[in-house]
Amino acid sequence: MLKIYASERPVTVVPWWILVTLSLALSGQVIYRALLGPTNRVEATALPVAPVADNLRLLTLGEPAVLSKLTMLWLQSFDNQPGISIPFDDLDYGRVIAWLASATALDPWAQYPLFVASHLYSRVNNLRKQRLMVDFIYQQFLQDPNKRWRWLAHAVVIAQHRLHDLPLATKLANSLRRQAAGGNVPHWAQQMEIGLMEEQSEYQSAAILIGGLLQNGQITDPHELHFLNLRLKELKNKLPAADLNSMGSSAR
Amino acid sequence: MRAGCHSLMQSSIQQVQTLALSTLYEAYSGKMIVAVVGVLGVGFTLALFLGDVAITETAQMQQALLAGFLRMSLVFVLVVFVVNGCVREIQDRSILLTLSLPVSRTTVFFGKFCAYTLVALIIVIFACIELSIFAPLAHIIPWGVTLWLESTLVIAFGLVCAFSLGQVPLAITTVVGFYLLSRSMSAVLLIAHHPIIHSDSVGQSVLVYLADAVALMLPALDQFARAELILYGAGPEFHLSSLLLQGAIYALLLVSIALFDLYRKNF
Repeated sequence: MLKIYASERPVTVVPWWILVTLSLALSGQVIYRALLGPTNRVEATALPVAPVADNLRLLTLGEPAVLSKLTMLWLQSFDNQPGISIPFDDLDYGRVIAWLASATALDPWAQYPLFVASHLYSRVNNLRKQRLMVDFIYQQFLQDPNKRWRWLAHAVVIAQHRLHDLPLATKLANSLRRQAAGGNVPHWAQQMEIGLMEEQSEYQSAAILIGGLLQNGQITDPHELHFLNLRLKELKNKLPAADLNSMGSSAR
Repeated sequence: MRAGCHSLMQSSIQQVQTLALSTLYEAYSGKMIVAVVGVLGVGFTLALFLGDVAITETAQMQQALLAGFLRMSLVFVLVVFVVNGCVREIQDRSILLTLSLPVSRTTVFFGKFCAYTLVALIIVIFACIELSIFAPLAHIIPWGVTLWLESTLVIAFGLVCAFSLGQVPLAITTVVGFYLLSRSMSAVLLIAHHPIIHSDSVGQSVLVYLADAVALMLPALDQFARAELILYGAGPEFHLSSLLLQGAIYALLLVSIALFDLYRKNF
């Protein structure tokens, strides 16, 4: 302890009424927070309109990447409200996309906005909203194809298996092949267009995509790995047994 | 007997008043007024600048950002003033002079606490006057009341830290940390309770319990002086009585802690 005071006097010098008040106030605080605290009062609220990135940049105090991360955490709190839940389907996707775009503009190296766009927000049971997310991913990919190719690869899978829009999937895969020509883009990603011609289940496509990313050493974050493995498991559970058997035999 | 109690009470109140006046004089003679005027001036300029650059919702932009700026800055100015004043008295031993007078430590504490809360009230009134240029008065009043409550809690915590830590940087850092954590605790709880990647690990469970425990010990400052009050007024979800209750309970808790600590100190 700091040597500011000579020593401390015993507790007995403290008047009794201070000890009583302290105990009462402490109990009162715990009771107040337990009964009326924010955990019980948090209510799902509508997502506000996103400011454009340039306006948001004013608040960054020269640290746009920090604000980008904070924006993503904040955005996360809107869809992570089970019990007081806003299901993804109830979110205004125009606004979600605007927030994601602002976060990406603040930190163009960030993968978080595109990750949530392709793996979380695209899982909504609403074709129009899925299409909006795919379009957002495509637009972001076009701005930096060599860094954002993996999200477009996932968008190809979404377009093929969830939107059942083969022309769109082909367009995206074609764009992936032609625009993402950097050395870090693996061969299998550039050849996704060919894979579209083959009859594959969503699980098979996702397994190829995730397996390819893992083999390539592109995914290193343990949380992301865990998340993707859970996602694969989910897809596998949805797959009919016959398809699994055929996959097993084709693997052999 | 009754008359004795009454005169004792009156003499205590007079002592509190005298000590409070000396603290108020310190605020007047120090650089605090300059800091407050500076904050108000910068806030006003910021609001004008935003009014110039915003292409839509100009008034709302000015109101929200001015309210947010004033809230943060004025609380910070108060923290620095409270902590600096108390620690200086401890370090230059002038507190010994006060304690050598026939006054109880409770009186010394309340003299300071009352003076600082009065200073906070004056500052909040000035902030409200400035805001009234940009927002309707009916929206400003609940904001001002809750800002004053928030300032009172921060002042009490500042006194606790100043007396127990005895060093300006350490005490200010602690108060600022307490303030920011109290304001963001709801978001921390939300994220802790509903992570995207659910895990049954012991670590995550412990973190959730820890977050809950910390939240129980902190005041719900995220409900005080929100910019939404200025923008949209006090809606049906705003309960001033609940915030007054929270303010009273937490102020009592902090005052008790400060007195407990003050009585045990050997200066």
